[in-house]
Amino acid sequence: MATTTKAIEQFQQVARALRDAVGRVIVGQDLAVDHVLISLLAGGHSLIEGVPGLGKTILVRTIAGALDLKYARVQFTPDLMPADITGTTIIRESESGTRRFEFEAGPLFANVVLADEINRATPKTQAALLEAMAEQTVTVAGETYRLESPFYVLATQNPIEMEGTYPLPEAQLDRFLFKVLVGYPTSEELEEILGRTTVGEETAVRQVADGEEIKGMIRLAREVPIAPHVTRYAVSLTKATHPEDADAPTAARRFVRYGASPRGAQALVLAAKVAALSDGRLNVSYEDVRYVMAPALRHRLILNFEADAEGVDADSVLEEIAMVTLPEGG
Amino acid sequence: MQTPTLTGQFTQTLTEVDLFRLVRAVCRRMWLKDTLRVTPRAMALALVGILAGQLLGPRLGTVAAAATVVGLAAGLALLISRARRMPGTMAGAIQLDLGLDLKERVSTAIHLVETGAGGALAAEQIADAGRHAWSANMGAAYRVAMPWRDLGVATLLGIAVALLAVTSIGVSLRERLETSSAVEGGVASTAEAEALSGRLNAGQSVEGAMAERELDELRRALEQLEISSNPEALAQRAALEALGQELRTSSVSRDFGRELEDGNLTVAAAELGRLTEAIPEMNAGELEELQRDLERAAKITADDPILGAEFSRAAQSLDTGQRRAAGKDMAQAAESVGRLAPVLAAEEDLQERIAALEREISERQGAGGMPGREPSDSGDAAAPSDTGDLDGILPGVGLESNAQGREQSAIEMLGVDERLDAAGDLEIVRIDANEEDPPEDFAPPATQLSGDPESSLEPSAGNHGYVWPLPAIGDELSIDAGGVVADYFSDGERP
Repeated sequence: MATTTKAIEQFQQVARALRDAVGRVIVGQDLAVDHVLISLLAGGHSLIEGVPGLGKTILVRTIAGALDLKYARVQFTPDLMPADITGTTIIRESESGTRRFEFEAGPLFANVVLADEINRATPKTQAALLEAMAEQTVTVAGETYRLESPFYVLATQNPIEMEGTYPLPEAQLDRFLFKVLVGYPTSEELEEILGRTTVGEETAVRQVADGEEIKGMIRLAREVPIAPHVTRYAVSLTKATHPEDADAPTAARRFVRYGASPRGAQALVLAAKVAALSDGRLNVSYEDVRYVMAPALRHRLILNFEADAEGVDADSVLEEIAMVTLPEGG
Repeated sequence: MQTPTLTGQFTQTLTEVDLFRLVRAVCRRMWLKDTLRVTPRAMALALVGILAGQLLGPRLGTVAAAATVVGLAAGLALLISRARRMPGTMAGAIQLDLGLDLKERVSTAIHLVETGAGGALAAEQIADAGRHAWSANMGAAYRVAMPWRDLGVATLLGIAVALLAVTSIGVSLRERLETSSAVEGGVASTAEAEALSGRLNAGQSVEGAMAERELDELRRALEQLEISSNPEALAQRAALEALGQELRTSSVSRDFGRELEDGNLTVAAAELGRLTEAIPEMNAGELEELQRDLERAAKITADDPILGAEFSRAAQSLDTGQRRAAGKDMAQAAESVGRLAPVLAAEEDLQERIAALEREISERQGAGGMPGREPSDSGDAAAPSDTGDLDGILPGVGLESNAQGREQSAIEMLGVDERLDAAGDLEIVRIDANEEDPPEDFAPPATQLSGDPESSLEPSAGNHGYVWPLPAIGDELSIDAGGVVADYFSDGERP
């Protein structure tokens, strides 16, 4: 009991410290930061979307800097090859003159991988991430290499510039626990950003946790109990994204082509557990599920042409689903 | 109980047992609220059944009883089915969480306890739920609101049922239904129902409508009694009283006369019998006086074909010295007088009832000022005027109007050789034409529609025809009304 209590305390302390550390660098974007941290503590990957200049890369870099973890950044471009990120086998000659094949690990062999502008790489290169993200392994020349844990892919993408980009396939998107939207800062926030970044040196990020602590936090989060009716609520929300579901609201029926996968429901529950723990609770509430619903499901909804024509996005569909789908007793 | 929080502070907390007790208390409140919510609906069902039963009662007794039973059973079943359903612990815990905004702490704890889940966090979570539920306010956790709207509806229904059961409105409504039922059955006229309905709709007082209805019923009863009345019996009684006065002076027949005058017909019959038995012992003077008495009796009772004839025959027999025949006729006359006793007594009773009814009607008309038959000028309610019988009664009210309506419709449907007799019964007539003497001033036959029984209802063929009722009587005559009459009753063109 005492150990558990200590673990819970530690979780909350680290989560708070992480927020503080990121908050020293990133101005505003509280929700985005919170969602990224939740994804991180749930052991999931995040896709961060926003127009250029909003601090997506800095956000990832800051988080990586706050954690005592191996960090790698890959700038995705159209000519980036899979081997450039996974690594490749090269011939290495020893001092004695003997030659042998040796695997040269790519940037994926890190704890935190920043896949910057992931949609600029070709699908072939994007697909190279699939195995790493899903199974935390990389297979090169028939040889499978295990990635170090924890392993995070924090990818960024620009929603505006679609020229010369390759939208991520659904299978790839589904591997991201969260899709976090980074919005434009308010005037006050922008003022604060200018004040911080145009005067003196950049603020240094203090490391608040190492890999082992993070892994312990991930394990603890998974142990957070969830009542059956809360689980049912998560299932109802997920099912309501399917246009053919009886309880699907009008927006889902009209604008959604394919609803969220079971991975979406898993993401909901797992992220809700982290949210509960971060909030100082040892159980998942309806509110936690609703809090993580949008980042957990928005990238798993495939909207139809009508939605595109009417400018309806996944968030507005999810909003209606959350409004219509009531929990038990609610 | 005190337990440390995550931050190391001690605080009040509930044990698992206390937590369950708290949840069960919420369950009870939920049950109470659900039962309260259903109770007015159950009441409403039962009351609707009773209401339907009361309204249908006058028309359909079995259906009304069934409606009442079904309503009561449905209401009871609804109430019992709800009352038997106690909310589960988890439902109570969910409501407790929602009511106190405990963010599903208690329900999760209950789930963990019920499933016996271990885990690193389970015990800590249950303790956390206990801490947060410590200061639970049951009122805030689950408010038991009274279903005022449903209760209001049930109360209104209850008032309606009570009103129907005990007040004149209910009586009136039921009577109205009875009336409409009677109309459907052909007993009362449609016009009457419409008139009553119109009066009710026009806002007349319910009491007024009821009084009028009772008055109508009295009038109908009076008419039935009047129909049953036997005017000949009254005439017989008057004749016998007159005979009694005549015979009081006779030395032979004074006892018989006294009893007749006093109306003791049974005793009078016995006296006449004794007189008959005394004939053989009478001397000539007595026989002569008896003969005179019998002649007076025959004269006074001449309108009575039986008694008058018997007295007459007895007088003639005595005149011709046939004492035995005279005795026989007198004995028959005594029997006839004896038979008249119950007839006249019944008629007297009938007349008394008629008089009482007419007094009642007269009083009610006078008291209520309701439209109806006016009392006669002489003050004798039992003697309505010829026209007053119909004119004084509401249009379409009672048997008069109904009978008239039927007669008219029947006349409209009469065939060429059919008519109605004075009693309104269908009668077949046959008209024979006199072809040898065609008339110049032909008038089509006319059927008299007057209700005056004194008037002839003989169908007429003008001056040139003659009709008689069928079945034919023995002295049937052949009438020749000529070819014109034949043409008139044919399908051809009229002259």
